[in-house]
Amino acid sequence: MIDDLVRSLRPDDVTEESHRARRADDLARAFAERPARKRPPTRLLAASGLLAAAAAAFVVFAPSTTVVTRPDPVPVGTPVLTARSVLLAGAETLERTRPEKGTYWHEKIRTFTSPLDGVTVASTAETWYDGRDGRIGATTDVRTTFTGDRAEKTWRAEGRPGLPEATKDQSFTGLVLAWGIGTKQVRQADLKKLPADRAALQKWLDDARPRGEDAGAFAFAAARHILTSPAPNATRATLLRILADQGGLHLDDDATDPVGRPGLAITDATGDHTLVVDPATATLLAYVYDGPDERPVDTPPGTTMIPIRQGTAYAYLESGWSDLPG
Amino acid sequence: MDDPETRFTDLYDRHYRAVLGYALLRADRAAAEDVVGETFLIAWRRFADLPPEPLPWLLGVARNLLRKQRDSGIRAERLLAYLPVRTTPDVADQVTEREAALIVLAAMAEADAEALILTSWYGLTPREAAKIAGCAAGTFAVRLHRARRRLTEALRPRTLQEQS
Repeated sequence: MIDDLVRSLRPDDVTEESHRARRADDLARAFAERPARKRPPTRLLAASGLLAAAAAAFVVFAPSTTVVTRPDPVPVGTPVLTARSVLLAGAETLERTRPEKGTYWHEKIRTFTSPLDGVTVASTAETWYDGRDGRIGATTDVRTTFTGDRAEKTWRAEGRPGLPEATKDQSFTGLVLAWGIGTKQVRQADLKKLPADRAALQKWLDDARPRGEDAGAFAFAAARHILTSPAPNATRATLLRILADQGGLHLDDDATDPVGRPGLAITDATGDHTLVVDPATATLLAYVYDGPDERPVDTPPGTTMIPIRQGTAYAYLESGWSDLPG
Repeated sequence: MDDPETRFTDLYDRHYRAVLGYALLRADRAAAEDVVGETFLIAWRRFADLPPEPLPWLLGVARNLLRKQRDSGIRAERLLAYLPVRTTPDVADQVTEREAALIVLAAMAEADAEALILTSWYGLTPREAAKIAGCAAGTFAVRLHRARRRLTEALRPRTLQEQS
């Protein structure tokens, strides 16, 4: 009865008229863009009750603990895992995590790009950095995969685009490592000092966000840098809480990251940004970008901006404090 | 039907009205139409990855975009302007009741009103609707129950004794 009454309030007259009026323009605007492409494949695990294991692991286990148990079937009444609950549980895990100490922040990242339809180029890069000095490892394990012969032929005919430059092991002499987060150029020392206070971190994000960019989407884009950086655990926890409060999040609770590690994939409402998180440790496993290609922008002299393209994914193989390799 | 543009056009035709109806809760018509246009543009970019039943996803995207609006609250006057015309014998009574219902909906907590609208307008399951509302299914069920009760109580004919 009440539902029927509420249903009768639906503005059908206006929506019908608007559909007629807007249809041609809306469709033309969409079709002016490049056709949609499938995201890089995220292999699915067999459904196995991972849902319950993930929820429990966030709450119960110390972050350094590796949980490799197969959980019991999901009992009736188990709370439904949502993107929000996953992010909030991750924040709690980070807050309980004892901070690591070390001299060099070490990152090993496998990058996947899609220079052409049906083509994926993968390579691994590694850095050790103390804010001034350190080492940049050679680009390794470059692999190109194709969805078929046709894609491979096209890629070869177009001069093998997307292959990373072959680099050698080198020091940071004369180089400064900085990350572009929106309008801010951020160095390691800045990341270490990022505030853990919710309002202060939100203000920092708002200040960095380019005009007109969606706040939720920007927070996701910033998260890929901050969550894998030497930012304090409390700061990273606060960032997860900010992400949790975004509307329209989508959770894939049985995803794998681009290198095959199981995780929980959380996509923002625009669909442009996906974070794959390890539920046991709240560690960011991977970031997948599926928005429009970024355009290069002017940067200060001596700096280079690497615009991110649709279909790019980063798998964070290692990140944490360490010594320089021998 | 394999052509992506044809399939996307079909998606647009099937769901435009629903997404706009939802956007009109929180924005004036021009702004709501822009939000819906943007929502479908995002859907086109993500077309290969859309879930098989895309309406909850579309409403979730629209909801996020609407949050950027300066005045995104549910307003009675806005909803009254969109009230559909019904040609039934007891037009006057129905209009009065529907106007009263709109005013009650607009006056209650927005999350409660949204819960009732999402389920009754679109036939979404509580779980689907909870995802759009960004809350747990249990929380959503509480909101829905509270909204139904408030609306029922507000529209219940009152006795003289209750009014005194």
